[in-house]
Amino acid sequence: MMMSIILLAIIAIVIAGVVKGSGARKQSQWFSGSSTKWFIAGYALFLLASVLIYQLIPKTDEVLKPEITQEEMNQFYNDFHNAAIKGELDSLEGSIKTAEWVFDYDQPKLHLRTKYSNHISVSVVTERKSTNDGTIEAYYYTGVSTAGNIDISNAVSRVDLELDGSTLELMRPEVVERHFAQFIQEFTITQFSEQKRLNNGHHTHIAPEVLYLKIPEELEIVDYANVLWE
Amino acid sequence: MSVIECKDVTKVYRNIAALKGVSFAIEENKITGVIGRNGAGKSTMLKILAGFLKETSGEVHVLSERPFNNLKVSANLIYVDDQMSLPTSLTLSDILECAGDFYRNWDKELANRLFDYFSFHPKQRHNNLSKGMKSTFNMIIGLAARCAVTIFDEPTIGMDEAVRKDFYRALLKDYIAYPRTILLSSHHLHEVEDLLEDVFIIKEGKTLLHVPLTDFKEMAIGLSGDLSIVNPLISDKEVYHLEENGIKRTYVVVENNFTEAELHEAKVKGVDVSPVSSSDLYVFLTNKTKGGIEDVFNRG
Amino acid sequence: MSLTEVSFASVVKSQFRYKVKAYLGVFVSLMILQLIAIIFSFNGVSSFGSGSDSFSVTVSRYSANMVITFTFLWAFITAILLTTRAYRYDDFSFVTNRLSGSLSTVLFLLFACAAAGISAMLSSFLLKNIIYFFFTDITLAGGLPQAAPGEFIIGTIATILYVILFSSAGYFIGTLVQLHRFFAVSVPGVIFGSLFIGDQSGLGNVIVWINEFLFSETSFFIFISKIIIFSGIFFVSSFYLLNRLEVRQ
Repeated sequence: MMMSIILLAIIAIVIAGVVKGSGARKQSQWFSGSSTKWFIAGYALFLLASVLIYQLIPKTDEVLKPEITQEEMNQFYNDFHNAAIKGELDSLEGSIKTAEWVFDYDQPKLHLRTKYSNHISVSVVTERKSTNDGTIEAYYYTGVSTAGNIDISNAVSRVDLELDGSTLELMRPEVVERHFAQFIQEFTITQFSEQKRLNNGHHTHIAPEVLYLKIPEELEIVDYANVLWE
Repeated sequence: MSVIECKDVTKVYRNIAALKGVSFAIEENKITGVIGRNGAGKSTMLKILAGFLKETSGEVHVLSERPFNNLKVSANLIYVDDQMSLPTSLTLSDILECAGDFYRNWDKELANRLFDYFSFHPKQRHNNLSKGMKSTFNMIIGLAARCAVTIFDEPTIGMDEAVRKDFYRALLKDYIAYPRTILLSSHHLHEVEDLLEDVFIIKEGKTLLHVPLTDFKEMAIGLSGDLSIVNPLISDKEVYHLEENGIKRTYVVVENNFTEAELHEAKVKGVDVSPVSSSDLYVFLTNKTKGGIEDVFNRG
Repeated sequence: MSLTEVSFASVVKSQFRYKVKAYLGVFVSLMILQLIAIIFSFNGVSSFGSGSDSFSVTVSRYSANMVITFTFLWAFITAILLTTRAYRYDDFSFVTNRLSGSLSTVLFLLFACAAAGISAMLSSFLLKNIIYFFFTDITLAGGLPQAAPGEFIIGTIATILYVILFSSAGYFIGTLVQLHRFFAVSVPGVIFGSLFIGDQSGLGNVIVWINEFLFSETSFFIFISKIIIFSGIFFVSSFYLLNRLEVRQ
């Protein structure tokens, strides 16, 4: 509060300085005489030109959904978790299968760990197949991650899998840094428009992730802590 | 018809009385000199006429209206002095153009000719002008506006001698071509003497005198001679000035209502009779004491 | 010399023309301030983010709100400036009375406020263009929004009305200061005092009240009436106070 008042005072002083400095009835310190007119006309034209240019930019019809509330997100976490255990993720609304792998594997034990020894909070659900067909099928499910009302799913880096001998290694292929910009309407517009509260949220929701493994009947998985068993 | 009428006008600024009851009337189409020492209240009076200030008491009528906040008065009266507030964002030629927009009788051609004559540059700014140039420029506005009442308050401040003369000639010529009521204030009577029809002298916030200039010139007479001879002559006269002029000799300026015979007699008795120039008379009249600065030194 | 008859309206008209010409400088300060505000706006009006060791997301929100706010302050200060002595004296070099002088100044202010409000709203397009074309490392989310023309017009009118309200407050405060020096000290004292004392005392509620009363008003028509009433009170009481003020003492 204090800081913002001081900031406001400084801005007010700067503005007062500019207003006085360009002294309306005095000869301007910055512009000589009749060029004032041209500067002002130039500014007006510049603004009009930017309106025109803006119209020429192709616009996509990307419509932002209203922000997901905390309750909706909690609900989704629960549903996602339950569906994961039941193996019904394919039919859960909002869950997305983003990757699948098939590995040939015929050893009795499988080590599961993260590749660069940093923690990856992915739940692993395993389902034993009824046969020993010597293949591991892996599916990666997640949901929609949001920041405010922006879909940031693509910015949340996905896991990748690699089979190295008897170890299945989980990793994040890259660190993703994304900067999103969002144009919001001026407060004098939103004050009188219906959809005003739409843009106000600042919450980020990261969707849960599940790695779903279908393994041969006799295979034993060791080491990985965050594993949900069916 | 009186264009300007003032009755017992006073003006008090924060307990200081600038005008202490001024009454006068000014006839249409006359050039009147408003003369007074510095601080006598000339400017205050003229600014009241222009509607800048409001009288504290008394009655002021300009063109039969009260001038304060009066648009009719403002449209038909222009007040020109060296303090005229003009925005410096405008060039001089812009200002003339604006002035033309305000005054119906504006003489654009006259303004332009004077502008060229005094070698102004159209792109110049008011704040970059020297004091004399400023006064000259303001004078151009005052003349070209052709207002029924034109007030010049010490218009020649800072002007050099040549420009001053040009100004008075221009004023006179334009007045003859387009007669109007002109008030011209100055603290130098001799400078404006040739122009004036009437003089109006203000002293210490009061009307001292308001007479035609010709009367003013003959109003007083100077007598110099032996104290014992001069004193009886002036016993029933109004003395405007009195100074000791050597031992037992004196010089007095008194109202001139002597008859020819009286003057002749005085001359015979050895009194020097001399006319008094109007500017000397003005100085004597407006001195605080009868002896002027001499009194400061003659304390015995 | 024949007397000329002038009507009040024609004098005000001449004075308005004169002021538009002479006080063009107010638009220069407006332009400079709006450009400064646009540069400040490159930071976004708000920004937030989240991340972990494997990703980081920042969302910046852009709008011309800063430009609009600067424009409000500009209007406030410009109105104060126009009540100062030199500006009032300018009137008295030509045909005027106090009411026509004040009225033409206010008309000029309204004109300037309209220009200021419109340019502030249009500057949002300039800002969007700059972000779109030059900030290419930033992903635009939600595309390029375009307010419906109706909404944009309402927003522009609202902006102009706000600007007018700020200028009327400035005009009134400037008038008080012209009447008595006392106000030159006490008015800023009260304004800043109330900001600093803030929440503890009742004075801080002024800000809350203004926020409730104006900025949260959702009905456009009630908003218009509120602004007209308030700025009307400010302007008319200024006219009344200025009408007795002597010039060039």
